[in-house]
Amino acid sequence: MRRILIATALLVPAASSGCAGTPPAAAPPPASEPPAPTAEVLSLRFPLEDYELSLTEAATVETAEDILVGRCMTARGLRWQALPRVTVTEIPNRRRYGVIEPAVAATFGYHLVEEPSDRKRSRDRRLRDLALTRDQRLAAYGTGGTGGCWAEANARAWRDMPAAEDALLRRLVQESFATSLRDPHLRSSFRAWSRCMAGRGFGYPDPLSAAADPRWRSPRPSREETRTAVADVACKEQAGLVRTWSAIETAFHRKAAERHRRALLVLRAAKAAWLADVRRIISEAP
Amino acid sequence: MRIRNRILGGAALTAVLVGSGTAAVGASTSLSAARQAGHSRLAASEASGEAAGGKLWLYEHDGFKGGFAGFTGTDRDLTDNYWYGTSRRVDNGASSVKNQTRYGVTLYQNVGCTGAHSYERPNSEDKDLSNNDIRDNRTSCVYFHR
Repeated sequence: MRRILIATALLVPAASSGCAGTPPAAAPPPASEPPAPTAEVLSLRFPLEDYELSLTEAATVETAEDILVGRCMTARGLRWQALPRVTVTEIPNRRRYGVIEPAVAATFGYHLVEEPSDRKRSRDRRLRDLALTRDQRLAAYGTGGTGGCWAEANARAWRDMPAAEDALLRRLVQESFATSLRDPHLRSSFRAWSRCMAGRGFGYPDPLSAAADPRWRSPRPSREETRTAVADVACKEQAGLVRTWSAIETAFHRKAAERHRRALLVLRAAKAAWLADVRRIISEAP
Repeated sequence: MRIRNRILGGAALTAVLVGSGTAAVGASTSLSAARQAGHSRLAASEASGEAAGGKLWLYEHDGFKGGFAGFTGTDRDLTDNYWYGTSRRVDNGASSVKNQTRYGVTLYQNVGCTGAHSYERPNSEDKDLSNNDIRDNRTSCVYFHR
């Protein structure tokens, strides 16, 4: 269960070159709160994801892990402030096909958007850890940062994760995307998207190229970047690209799920047993 | 952040290996031992580990062999990262991974964090990112859930 499809997030800096030799015009700083996911993003799910660890489930394991750290710390006579629970929005495919939301494109361009649950968890962790005494920190994390009570808790919380998921699901999920790129319907949609983009003054063969443009390595999105991203989203809509792409991948997932039904059922059962154990750790917490 | 996530280049490797007596590459030191020493020293030298909670290590080959590169935070574009001490790009070159951090890390297939992606749980390792039908070496973005 090591693999989960992930909702993407975070503002990621990098270096930028701008356009035509001129310095990039900086767009206004991204809003502090990311736009709420669109209905399309919320609905973008694939059959094999049922067998993977969801974002909510991963957060549940982390909660159990944190509780186990607390038990260990208590046993050593040290205090531990448990982290507040977070509610995770399940949008694992927000960026699968690049930027597909107008509001995200207009504000963030191709930069990553930090999801509220990630940001909250990060802030809570940071505040809690900053308040630790040296003794508490060493007991919790050891000298290298990944030892101490945390290492014990981590090993326990993830102990029964079904390892078999790794190879099978990873292969299928990657194969789905790779196969889709060779699909003639998607290639046709790419051409339609590319023509649309060219009509707006942007030259890219496909949306993945647009998202990977090295000019977007700036700390903040430039106006050129947000303009490109807005056009990208509009052209995806015009070309029906997300619908075509997701339909191709959904068909692949369904076939793969049927082909590997037995193995996947075993995985699902093992995952359910593991997560039941994890939830028991949480429910038994004071 | 970009700089923090960058991997040290060849000059840095030389400094690490030669600048330290114990890790110097000598006639009696095997390549793997030297490599391991360099790896450890790199890890140690960059480990604000106690605070940061370790690093994510990508490896060029299966079984944690070949070039290696360490990350302490998100990097959406691995095209300008190189295997430690080499001129070979990390982008699309990772075949195994150790997540020696307290955080989950998502590996994305494409620059800009698009496409297929997978999750490496905290404190885990995967000696073979490949699969049977498509080639491995597809990691182009790392995203830290920290």
